[in-house]
Amino acid sequence: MDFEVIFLTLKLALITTFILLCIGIPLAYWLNYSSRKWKVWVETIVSLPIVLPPTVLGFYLLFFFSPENWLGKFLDQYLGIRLVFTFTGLVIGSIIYSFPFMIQSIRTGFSQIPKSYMHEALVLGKSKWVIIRRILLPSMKNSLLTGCVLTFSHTIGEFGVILMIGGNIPGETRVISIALFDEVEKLNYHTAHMYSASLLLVSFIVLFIVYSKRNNPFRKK
Amino acid sequence: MIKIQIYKEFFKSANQFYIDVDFSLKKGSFNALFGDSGSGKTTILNVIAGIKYADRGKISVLDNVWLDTAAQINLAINKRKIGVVFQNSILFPHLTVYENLVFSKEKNDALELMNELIQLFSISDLLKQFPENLSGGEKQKVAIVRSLIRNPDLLLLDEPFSAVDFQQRKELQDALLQVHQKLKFTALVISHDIEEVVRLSDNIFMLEKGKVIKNGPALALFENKEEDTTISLTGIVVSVEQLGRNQKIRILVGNEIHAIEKDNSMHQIGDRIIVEMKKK
Repeated sequence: MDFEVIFLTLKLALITTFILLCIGIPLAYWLNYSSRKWKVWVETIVSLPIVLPPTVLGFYLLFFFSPENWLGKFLDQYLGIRLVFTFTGLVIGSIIYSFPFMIQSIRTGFSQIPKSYMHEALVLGKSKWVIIRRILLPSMKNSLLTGCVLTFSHTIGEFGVILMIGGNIPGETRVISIALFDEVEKLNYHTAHMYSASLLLVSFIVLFIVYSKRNNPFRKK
Repeated sequence: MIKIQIYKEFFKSANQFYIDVDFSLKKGSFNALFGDSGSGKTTILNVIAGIKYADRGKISVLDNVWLDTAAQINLAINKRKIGVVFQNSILFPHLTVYENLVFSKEKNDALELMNELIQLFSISDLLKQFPENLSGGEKQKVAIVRSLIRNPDLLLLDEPFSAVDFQQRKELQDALLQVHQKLKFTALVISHDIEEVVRLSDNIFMLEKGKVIKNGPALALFENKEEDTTISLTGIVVSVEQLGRNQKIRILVGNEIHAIEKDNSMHQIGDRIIVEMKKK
């Protein structure tokens, strides 16, 4: 078993989870509290990866990020960024693919907090930023944890998007799911078992963490 | 002086209601907005706090304008120097009582005031507790302390003691009056409990269908009570004559002065006291 594959997979999952957490909190807050009419457009776009086959998403990313396309050409020529068959491209693809899992989890957390919390904190003279940081986020730790765990495990297990946009370049884009597919094609079942067992173990552990933490979200331990 | 003018139309259960009030609160006074359920009390409180909008109106608190619809001024809730105690105030459940209090503190010099309020409301034993372990009365005590730590220009109380039992209610009212006497903040309590508003406030606005129909000192309400009704009134001691261990005290209740004799009392001029009076 190639440990570089495992390292690369974990690196991808951690970076994706961190970036999505940073984007997810303000976006989920806006989606939950905003009353803008065009919010439905954002909701629809954010949720698209749930219903789209990963290969479709991967195909479009490959299409737009390709140096043959205007976007890929612009990124390549003017910013020196190549997203096709690179680790950076994998991160972008993973972020888009796991978007709804993080956003929906955090949004659920915001929606479960009574509006009166916001009123109570506002009449105490606090800014919205202070309220989010000190009242709302600590009150929805479970939702944040769920979002992180789902994103992390989803990224570890993704295949279609990664194959389309990243291919199978050792040390660059060859993650566990791709390596597993590769080993099966070579009829190397022993190594395939090792990769499969690793994925199974990680998935079990993260789900176990989520369910064991699902108690009273407001109780301080 | 705090001046409040609010006009607001709204629908409730498919019926149209409107609020049209114009009243002033003296600095340092304890006022009550008294009326039946549905008379518009909570809506007025929410507009003053900035939680709800008014169609037209102006609210000026001391030298600050909080709302002026004509000038398109509507100060954000968190910019209004206000304290609000809701009927069922929420203490943030992931914070201890002490952390809840510290959350509302703005400057380091508020620490002294916070400690003073903790003593006055006797909540020092609760500081390490989480809100889920407190009774309804204890929660309201903490909520009052939390709202006063900011030293607000106006303290709003929305039926603050309706969810606590009779004994605790009396204790909380006494503690609140004691603190008001010490800190002299301006307060507006809304309630449909006649005993409560008369006991707490020195000026009452009677609200009916969104309009103030009568206002004045507590006695204004007392006049409507049947004969021989005993009622608690808040008054300010204006003179004290010591008669051995007893005192003959003259109290200003509203615009009237009443004389009473109290056994074993040690009151001084300026004290706020509650007296039981009977209409004859």
